[in-house]
Amino acid sequence: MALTELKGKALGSQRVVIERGPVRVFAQALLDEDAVYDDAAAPVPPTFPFVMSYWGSMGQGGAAGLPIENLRGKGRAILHGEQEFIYHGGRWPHVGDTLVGEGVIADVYEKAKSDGGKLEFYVTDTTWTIEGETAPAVTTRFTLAINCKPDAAEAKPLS
Amino acid sequence: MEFPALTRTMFVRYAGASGDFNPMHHDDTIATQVGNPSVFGHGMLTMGLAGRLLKDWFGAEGIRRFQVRFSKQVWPGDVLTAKAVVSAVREEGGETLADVDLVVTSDKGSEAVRGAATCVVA
Repeated sequence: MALTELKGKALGSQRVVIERGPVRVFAQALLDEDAVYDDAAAPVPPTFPFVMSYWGSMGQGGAAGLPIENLRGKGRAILHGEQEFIYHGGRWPHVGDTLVGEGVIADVYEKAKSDGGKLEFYVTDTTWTIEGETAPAVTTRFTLAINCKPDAAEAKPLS
Repeated sequence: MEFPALTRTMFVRYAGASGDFNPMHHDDTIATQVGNPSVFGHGMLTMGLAGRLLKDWFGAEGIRRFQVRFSKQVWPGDVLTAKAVVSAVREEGGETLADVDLVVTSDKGSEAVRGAATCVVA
């Protein structure tokens, strides 16, 4: 079974300052030379909130907080299955903002495959609020998928 | 929107810009040890390229929701094309929103990502 007992687990918070250089370098890595990203108060590129957690207190990016060693095993291929960004309609994050992200394991489920194997899904939501505001600005939803062969090992139980 | 052929330099640049240094994306020795023909691109690089198309259409702050499923890996030399289609335009909360279906395909014939977005119509 997927480790469904993880559902609802809070992953703590992290705080990230949006800096000008990293935003421009990120846009350039996406081959985007749009002058909007040169500005001292540039908006973040749409997928930038995913990478913020690589710099925050968790420091490990999308899978941070998941017990990854328990999820590894024979016949279990770990994949970045899906990614979603939900911008809540308030102010868009810009260079100079400080964002506080609260993480939670939002869902854990599995689906049978026709070959007798299964797919396990672990969904982590990080909801980012611009410091000084009350409503969240953006939620990043990271879905880890584990493609399990029919004879794959099960996830190791949490100790 | 068609992008230049993917290169290892692009993967390294994305690794540095994102902080994602999974060696599958920059170290051919490690990538081939586990059965890959070479390094492959970050899924989030492909999603970021698709995001450029949305930004060009709806502006730098025009996205409300942007979701993708990662289908197939992308490889050095692949030429990616992002295509988006507006499937609906609707009013919600005093705003005009467009629902968009999008897909990024490689010139080798495979689908890299498929997804959907909701954007604000200016």
